[in-house]
Amino acid sequence: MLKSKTKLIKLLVTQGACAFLFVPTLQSVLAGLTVNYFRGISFDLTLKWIGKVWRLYADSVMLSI
Amino acid sequence: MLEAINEKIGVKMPHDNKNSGQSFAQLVAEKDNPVADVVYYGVTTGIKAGKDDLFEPYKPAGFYQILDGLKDPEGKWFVVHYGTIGFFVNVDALSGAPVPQCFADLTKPEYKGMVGYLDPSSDFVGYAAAVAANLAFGGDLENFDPGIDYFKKLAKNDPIVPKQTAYACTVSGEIPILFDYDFNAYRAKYEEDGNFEFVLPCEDSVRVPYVMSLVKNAPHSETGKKVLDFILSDEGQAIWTNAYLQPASPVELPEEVASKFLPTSEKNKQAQTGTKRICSVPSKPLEEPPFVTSRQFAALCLVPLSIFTLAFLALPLVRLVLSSAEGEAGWGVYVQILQNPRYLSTLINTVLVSLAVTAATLLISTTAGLFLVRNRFPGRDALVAILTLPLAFPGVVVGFMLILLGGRQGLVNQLLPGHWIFAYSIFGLFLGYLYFSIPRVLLTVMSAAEKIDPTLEEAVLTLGASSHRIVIDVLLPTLMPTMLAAGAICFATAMGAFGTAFTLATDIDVLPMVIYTEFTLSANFAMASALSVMLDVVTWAMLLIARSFSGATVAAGV
Repeated sequence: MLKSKTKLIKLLVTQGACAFLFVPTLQSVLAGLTVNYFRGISFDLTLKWIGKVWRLYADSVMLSI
Repeated sequence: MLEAINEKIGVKMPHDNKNSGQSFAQLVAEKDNPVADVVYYGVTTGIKAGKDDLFEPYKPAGFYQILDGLKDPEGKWFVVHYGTIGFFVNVDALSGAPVPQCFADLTKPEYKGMVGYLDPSSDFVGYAAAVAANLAFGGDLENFDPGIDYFKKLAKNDPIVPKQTAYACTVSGEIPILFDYDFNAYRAKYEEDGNFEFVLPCEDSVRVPYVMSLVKNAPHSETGKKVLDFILSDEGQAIWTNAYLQPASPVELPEEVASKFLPTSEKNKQAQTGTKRICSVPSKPLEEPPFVTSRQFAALCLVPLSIFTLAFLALPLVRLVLSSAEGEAGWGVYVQILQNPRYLSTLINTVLVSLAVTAATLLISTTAGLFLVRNRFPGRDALVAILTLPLAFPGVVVGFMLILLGGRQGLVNQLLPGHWIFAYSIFGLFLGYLYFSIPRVLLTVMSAAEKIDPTLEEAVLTLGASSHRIVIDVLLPTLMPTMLAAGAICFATAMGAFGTAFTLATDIDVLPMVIYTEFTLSANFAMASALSVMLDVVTWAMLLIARSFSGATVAAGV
């Protein structure tokens, strides 16, 4: 019984850490795909930022790699 | 603009977003062997740098069109465009409050936490905004008291004070009202999706010239001259207007561009309120900083590395220690640090945050790491992947993510509206460092835990020990060396972490931020070195204590 309870706590801690790391990552990905970050994802999705970033910073990306 | 230069005269210029203070520090540092050919910055920095003989006089083709007073008679610097200081407002982010019209409006409670201005000691825009507010309340360049009084009042309204250009913060709604130039506001108004306005404060404001110069001993001075010629040509000047910048020479504005600037009536208002030029009268620009050499700069860059290995530690440390005594106070600089409550509390803050981060990271990462090593279940690989995903994120990105999570427009504040903006507090910084450290410590712990012999645990279990005892008697002692090493790296990283603090930076004072301010903004090199040495010594001492303490634990455990 105790073992399964501690196991549950461990699982929760692990999942909590995952959520903490993943939610902002997901948010930043979404922010990159929204037309207007301020109005949120419900507004509309777009790929225009990706193109813009690539045009402006392709050289920098290559250099880093 | 950079694209046009590339197209018209075939010169490829790098995107370099350094602000005026940083450009100045670099120019001074590289004085004898500069990398740059031309520089671009706010006017007071230009006059200061001109005095320090960093520029080659050059009079481009359009030089004679510029009014006197807006250029150095010898051609060391000249105005290329203007900007007018005002409020750059994200109307949608005002939460229903009316668009402010005056400096005085901003101290009202309805704008609490909404106003942002760049650190006046760091960025020229911030300095110009301070000058504008000062003029607005009856001060002048000799008397800064009205401006200081105003900023004191504003401080009670929880302003956000970033160190660097904050255009994106206003566009995203993090800073609904920013003291900024008209051209930034117009750029947002006409190019971003959203509802943005530029407001010329009803009291008064300033119109700031931005200048360019040819760097002395430039590596490609002919190319540099070509660039300057182009920028002052009618064609080049017209391009500024496409970016909503008011050009230096009186060129005819294209119809569609002219319509985007303030309408004529507004311009009259600008004239009536006596918008003053602060160009030719900056009698007391900023303090004259001592010189900084590139050699010393290299020493400073090595500080984070030096924490890790003794080999790297020795050389820069010696140099750092020596240079810390090169200031006016000599070795007394250390006494100054210990006697100055700001430096001392910053040091204590930094240590406390780092300790808290280390403890929390070890707890979370060890629990999760052990769990993931000991249990196989569907989705385990996905969890491991997620937990190690942020390894490559630099501190700046972590800071940005924290803003997404806990900023004014952040997820938490949207789900639980009201009082859940934690990104800019010390707790936000703690979370940022935690985010940064968890993947690193987790990987270390997992690789160590995989080597623990599971039969050892089984033996203890057969002898009737509780799982609680297993953790204390078997796992922790075996993992202790790994946890100490991981904890040490975590602690040292948190002590020296800069990117996260820099991105979040509002009122958070941690030591790396203070060092940055002393070095880049005040160019107080001796103090920056001394603080770096203190940071190093304190980190080192803490690690030493941890190691001696651990020796006893491990011995007792085995």
